[in-house]
Amino acid sequence: MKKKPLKKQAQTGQEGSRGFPLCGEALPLRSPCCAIMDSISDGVFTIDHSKRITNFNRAAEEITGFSADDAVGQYCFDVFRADICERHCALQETLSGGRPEINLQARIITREGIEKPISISTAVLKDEKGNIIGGVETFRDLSELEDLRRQVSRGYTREDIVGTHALMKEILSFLPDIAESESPVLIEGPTGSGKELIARAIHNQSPRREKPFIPVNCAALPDTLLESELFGYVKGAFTGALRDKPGRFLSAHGGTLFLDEISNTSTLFQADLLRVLQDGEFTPLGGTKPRRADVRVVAASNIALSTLVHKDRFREDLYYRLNVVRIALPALRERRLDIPLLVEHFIHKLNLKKARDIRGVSPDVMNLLLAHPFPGNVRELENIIEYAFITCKGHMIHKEHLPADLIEESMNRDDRISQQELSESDRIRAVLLDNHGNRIEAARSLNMSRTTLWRKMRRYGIDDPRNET
Amino acid sequence: MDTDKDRKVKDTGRKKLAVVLFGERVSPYFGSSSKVLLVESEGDTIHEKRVRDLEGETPLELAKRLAALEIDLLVCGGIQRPLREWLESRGICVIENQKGQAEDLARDALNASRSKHNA
Repeated sequence: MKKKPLKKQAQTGQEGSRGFPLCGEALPLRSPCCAIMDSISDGVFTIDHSKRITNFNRAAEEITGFSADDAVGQYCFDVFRADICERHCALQETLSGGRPEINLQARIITREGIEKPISISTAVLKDEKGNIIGGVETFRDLSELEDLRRQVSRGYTREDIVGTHALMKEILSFLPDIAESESPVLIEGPTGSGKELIARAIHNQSPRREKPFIPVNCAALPDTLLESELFGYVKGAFTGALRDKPGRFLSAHGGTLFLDEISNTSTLFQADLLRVLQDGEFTPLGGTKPRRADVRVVAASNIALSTLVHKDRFREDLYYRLNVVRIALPALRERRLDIPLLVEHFIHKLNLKKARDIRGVSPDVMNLLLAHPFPGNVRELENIIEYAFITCKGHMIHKEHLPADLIEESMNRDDRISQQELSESDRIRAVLLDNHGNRIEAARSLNMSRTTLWRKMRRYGIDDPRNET
Repeated sequence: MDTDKDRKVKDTGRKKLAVVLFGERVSPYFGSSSKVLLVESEGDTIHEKRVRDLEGETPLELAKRLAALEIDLLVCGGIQRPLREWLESRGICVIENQKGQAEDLARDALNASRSKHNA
């Protein structure tokens, strides 16, 4: 935000012996104090006895979104808008007790409606005779620190889900309701579209957020292992079972169990899972005593489960048990306008993680990304940006910093893929799925030769859609 | 997403408005206070004006309680963007970034809404 002249400030302020303003009075424009206040990265404002703001530095403008023009002369709580203003006003306590507050944690709401974590310190301001004439508050924006902490702990919230596409906005608007309810959730969407991110955001917004979020990738384990992994086993249940193991259901007690790629489980396992969901009880492998766990199940699939139900590859009763709340995530190619936002989001995230200062991508890189079909969806985009962070040593990501196969593919393709071509790639994907990946059958259904199908699959970056994980 | 009932209310010019309170002023931080000033009006007439404690412990709970009251307008100071969008998706008009006396703001918001309705 550009600094505006401090029009409302008085032009006749005095300065105290240590260069601080004699408070209650505003700093004169262009005074050394004003320059010092504006040069520091922490937000600083001063108030008089009636809690009206007398000075508001440049960092305070940047953090709160309010200009000094807006702020000076207003009540501090109307501008600062912290969650502690109404119940535990730090400045009030400092002014009445004379004791400073140091590094008090709070949250503010900026002018744009962004909630920011901050740390606050306060002190009284005195005149030359030692009379208290006001207070000063300094505050530091902890957003970046919190972002980093969230990345490390994977404590994702709604704010981590980026998208302005109508479908994404609709999903996001109902996320709080979904989080609050105790119902099972089914998240469907292509590989890399952010199913786990949504699941974690639901958990982190739910009343279960203090309890564990346990993710299980059902496709990664064969049936028997999956059963012991989920329900646990007792000592001696099989060779090597040297002690009891609780299993993921019990580990998730009170929290959320995220069953990713549920479509890849056998109908036998599905029957076991259904029993647990119906009764809330399960018996560890080799055990006789049933155990009970209070778990909210969020399941995810990259294939529409209803299709699998029709093909008898997924139990209908389990499908209806899981499908209480259904979230369908769109593929990235269906929400191309979100690509610039996502690029910005990943650059911000990686700048924090890797302590870099990359400011953006060049226009030709953005064009290339907008034209790419993204079979790997948002995850693929994130990987591309992460790759560019390794190769780019400056502040701007250019074409030469992108993965070679992406460049090669873009060269083989026209500069932009037409809408017609996008529909064709979707159709090929759907037909391949219907034919269980059989390219001969798919080519026949599409009324094209096998080589044409192969060429088109290569062009659109389609592997076997069943393997897209 | 107007229901028949909503349409009926809007067509007759009846409005239900809430201002989240900090004393007699609008609360600067949505969720800090669960006390709200509720005003129901029709045309120029204010039918009812009362203060209620909605007892929401979190900003989301407060938003849900306000939505359950079927208000048409919410006047507030700072409000978290996701909550503002959530309320708007339920047909509630959110007038944010306000400061000052709650009753004055309520009156101004109702006047503005009435002018818009008549236009």
